[in-house]
Amino acid sequence: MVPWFLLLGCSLSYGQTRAVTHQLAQGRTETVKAKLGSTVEVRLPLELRQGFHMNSNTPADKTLIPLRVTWKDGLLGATEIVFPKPVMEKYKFSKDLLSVFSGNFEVVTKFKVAPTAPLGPAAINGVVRYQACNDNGCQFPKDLNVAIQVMLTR
Amino acid sequence: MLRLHTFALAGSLLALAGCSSAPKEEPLEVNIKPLAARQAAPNFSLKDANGATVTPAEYKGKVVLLNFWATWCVPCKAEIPWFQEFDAKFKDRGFAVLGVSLDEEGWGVVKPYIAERKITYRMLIGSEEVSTIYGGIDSLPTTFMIDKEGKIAAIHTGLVSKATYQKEIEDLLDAKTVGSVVPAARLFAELRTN
Repeated sequence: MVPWFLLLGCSLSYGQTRAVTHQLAQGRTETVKAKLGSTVEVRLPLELRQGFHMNSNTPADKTLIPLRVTWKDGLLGATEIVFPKPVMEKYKFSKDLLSVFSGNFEVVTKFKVAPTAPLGPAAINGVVRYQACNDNGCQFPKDLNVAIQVMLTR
Repeated sequence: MLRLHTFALAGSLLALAGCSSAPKEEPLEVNIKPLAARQAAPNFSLKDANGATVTPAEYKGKVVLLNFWATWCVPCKAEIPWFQEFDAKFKDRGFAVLGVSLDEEGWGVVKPYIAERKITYRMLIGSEEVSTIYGGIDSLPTTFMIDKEGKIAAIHTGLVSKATYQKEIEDLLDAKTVGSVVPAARLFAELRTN
């Protein structure tokens, strides 16, 4: 059994030529049932390794790299992405409070299901771009591939 | 008399307790390798903000603080004023700071950052190759203290205290230059060829 945080990601950021050890993982996700032509709300659970924090989607400083979730176009099109409320934390390396996420949290996305999509199983694929730090230093920005299984019904 | 001594002792203990509640200084984590354990700093060739090529060889004879950083790294930001101060304070004693940015966007983000913070020490844009030859840098800041011989005397991954850096710089500046004495055999050989 390999600890989840040692799993090597396929997507690379700085240092595109070498494997990346992720601090972030997708949590357990149930298959989502979605009716053709409807709007469906999908929860993406994310788990950040203990001892780390990441910039929220709205960091105060423009030089910081925000959390971003990007969904690939497919049978379901993302119409709105809602992030949780960030926590304002003080760290020893900064005079200012930082807007961060840590631990387990969820990003909720609303998808519009194409009315002409074929019935049956489908997948929504996306990328979570994040930049994590601990109390001492920062990891390079990384891209985590995520996927959610969907059952399309009438 | 005994009571007087007891009061005096209690007073001393209170005073000591008062001292211990004063702001603590950052711990020193000086970790300079012994001379025999030091390896040569890997060579590289990078451009500075003016387009000039920089190699570690041109810094031989100087103590160099080689700092890998990025504009998005908050702990890196905390160190920059210290490095500015060290660069100014120890420049005349043969010390230099070299900043190597590992920002993907390169000078486009680094130049405005340098200008905004009035960073005066030499800044370079790193590359995957340089990161790899310096051990595969996977977190920032990562700082190498390089001695006058061009050898790596200390490596710090993550933020360490300003006092640690200062102590290491001073120790390396005060160190005798080991390789400055030309071995007698080589000296005689050179004299014969001339």
